Amino acid sequence: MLFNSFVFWGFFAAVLLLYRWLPHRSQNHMLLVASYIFYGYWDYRFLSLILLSTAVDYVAAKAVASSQHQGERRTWLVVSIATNLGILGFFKYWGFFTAEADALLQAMGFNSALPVLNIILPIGISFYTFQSMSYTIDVYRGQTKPAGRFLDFALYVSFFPQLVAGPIERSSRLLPQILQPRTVDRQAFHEGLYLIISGLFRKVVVADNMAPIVNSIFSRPTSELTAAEVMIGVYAFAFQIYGDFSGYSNIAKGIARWLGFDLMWNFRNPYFAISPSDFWRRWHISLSTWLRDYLYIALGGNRGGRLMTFRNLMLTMTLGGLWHGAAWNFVVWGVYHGLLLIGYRIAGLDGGDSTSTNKMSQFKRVLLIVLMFHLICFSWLLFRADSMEQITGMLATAGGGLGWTPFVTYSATMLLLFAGPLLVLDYVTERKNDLYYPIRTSGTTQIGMFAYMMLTLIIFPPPATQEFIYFQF
Amino acid sequence: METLKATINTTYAAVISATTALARFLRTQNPGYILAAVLLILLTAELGLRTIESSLSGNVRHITEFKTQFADLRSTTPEPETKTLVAVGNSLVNNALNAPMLAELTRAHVPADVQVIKATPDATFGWDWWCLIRNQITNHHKHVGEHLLLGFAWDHLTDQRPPNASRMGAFFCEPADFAPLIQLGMTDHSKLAEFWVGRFSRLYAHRETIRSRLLDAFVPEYREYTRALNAAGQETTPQRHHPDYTYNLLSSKLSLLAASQINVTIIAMPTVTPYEVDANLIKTIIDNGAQFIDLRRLPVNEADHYLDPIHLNDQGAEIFTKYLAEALH
Repeated sequence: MLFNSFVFWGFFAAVLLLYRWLPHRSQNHMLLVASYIFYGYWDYRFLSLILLSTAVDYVAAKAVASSQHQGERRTWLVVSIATNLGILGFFKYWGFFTAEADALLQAMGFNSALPVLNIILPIGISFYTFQSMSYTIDVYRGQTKPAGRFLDFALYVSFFPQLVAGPIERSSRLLPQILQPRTVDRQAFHEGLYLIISGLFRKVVVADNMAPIVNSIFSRPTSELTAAEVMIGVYAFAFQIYGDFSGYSNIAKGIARWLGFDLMWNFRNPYFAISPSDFWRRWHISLSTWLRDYLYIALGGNRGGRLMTFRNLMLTMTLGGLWHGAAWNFVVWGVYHGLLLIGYRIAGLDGGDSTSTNKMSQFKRVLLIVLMFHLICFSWLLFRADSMEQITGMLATAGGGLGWTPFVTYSATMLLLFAGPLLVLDYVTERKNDLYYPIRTSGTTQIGMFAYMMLTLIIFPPPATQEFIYFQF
Repeated sequence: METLKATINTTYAAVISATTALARFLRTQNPGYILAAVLLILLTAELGLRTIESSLSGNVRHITEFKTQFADLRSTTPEPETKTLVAVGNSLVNNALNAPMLAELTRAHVPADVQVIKATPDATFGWDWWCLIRNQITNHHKHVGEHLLLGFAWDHLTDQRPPNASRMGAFFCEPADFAPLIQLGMTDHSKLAEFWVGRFSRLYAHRETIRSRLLDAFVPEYREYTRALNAAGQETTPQRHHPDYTYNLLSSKLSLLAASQINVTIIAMPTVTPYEVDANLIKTIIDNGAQFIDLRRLPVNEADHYLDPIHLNDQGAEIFTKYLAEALH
């Protein structure tokens, strides 16, 4: 059930109608049933995985909280982490690691007989296992109290707006909202409306119209491409993935807002970042903060000196890359981001918080934004390519003559028409330092903005509906 | 004089008051008002589009024209010496069939005044044709025509060819078709929703046409590259034979036509790239009492007789029509 489908909006209308009539506890029960229907609509068989993860973490967290013995607490924590990582590892990484091990053994002259299984990847598995696992860790760390009722906790794990592609919510933020009665006032409705319409615009108008261009360039042999085509393919993918994922996150936040919840922001104008660490404060914030809190800091963070910090950064980013998918290009993508973070630190360019950037000259700031955008674009080439051969082939092509073709003119105009307005919107919210700024403007401006988005949503959907890219993770 | 003064004052006050109210409204941040204003804009766009619908594209004009022709035929008593031949299909048939020539050639064999009407909207397939036949040709007290020609290529007649539900809802189907369509296999929930959205919103149903016209004006080489990028799944792409093809839609169409005592000829259309015709398709046609004509391999060549890999040009159309007329008699 995609957010950009009529089926979902019919489903959500029914949920919303029921929701308004029910008292708080029944609302939670209904939301849980709705969440399971939402997930089961893809493949009901994988509901058992969510239930397993939910049950284990509920029991483990209770045991951690009630136990007085550190050893026992640790054992329950290990049970929770092992279960979640076990589910994730089997469904997401088994095929990759067995295939790689098989190839390695064969290269070494052994006749390998590793069981290579063709496993279907359950949708959203990386998101809900991380969310569920963080709960047990937080209870272990004493940062959150265990949920009293199983059904409340089950709703925390499976809350449908953010179940399949995040944001990965922390229990300290989402569980209290589940436990407390919720209200939807005019402000919440207005914010929800903006988030939903702008999210659909990002997904349907921007991302999905970039998809055919990206697919065309990345499906052609690299020898048939010119440097300009490679560049336009990468720029188009930069806006495809941004529109796709930020669109999903906005819609998720918007529909949750209409249910009285307030989910975290997952994106803050990431292409206006001036450094890698600034980028990770703006891109997929729920994952980057998760990795920071549960991996980077657990590894020692920046407490062990410069070299240890670099090691921890590299490990965190490599595993972050692997989180996205079981393929070498994701590993390389993670390593590249680790190197960027380290490189900027060594060069002393990584002090980009809001205070220091306010003092920075406008020219330098623009220069850093443009540089960072292109470094990120390079990472998208690593991310999107189907193989390492394609990466090297495209890089070799990009190093040749520009080769401006009519297809580049076509693609660049499409990019300008569809991604341009998104960039303008981001620029305005960046300048005002307020992601809700568009709904604080005059009625005329808002009517114009909403009418533009609605009309383009109706008129400019792509010929073929595209799934959300992050569903595969 | 006093009355005039009073009128001016009243009018002035009304204008000031309306302007103030409008200004206040435009400054409002009430989401309800904003939403209402946006919906009003969409409604205005919808109504505006409906008034200029026929001039939107040649295809829309063609749909309006053949619907009018069919309505006229139903409303008048047919002359006994006039025979009507209806050609249904998409742009393949539209380009390939020279209607006046076919009428002329048929007159040589049939002692009657023959008229040929084309109902060949672009990019339509089995699902659209089911509705078109049911609503325009057979599903009335008086059916239209004595003979129906239906041209296809690749998988156009299979149940597996995905329906364009919004277009069906807007142009070819009626609300009463909804339940039979579900029974025939249009069960995808999104398609069912699209059917109704297309039925009520022309803005949505015409979105591809509007998109093409707008982007064509702003994006260099828009048509050429969009066609190339979307080639997969379009009628330009030869479909591989699918082992599970079914033809329930076609059977239903042939039953409707048989009940109206309309003779049916199904034609395999010529294309540059050859394609296979499924044996089950031919069996379905014959079992339902229809005629099958295979015109895939005409003496035509790409350089002289085709506009593109699938559409015949005028010279190609003359050859096709000649062979079709011969095969019909």
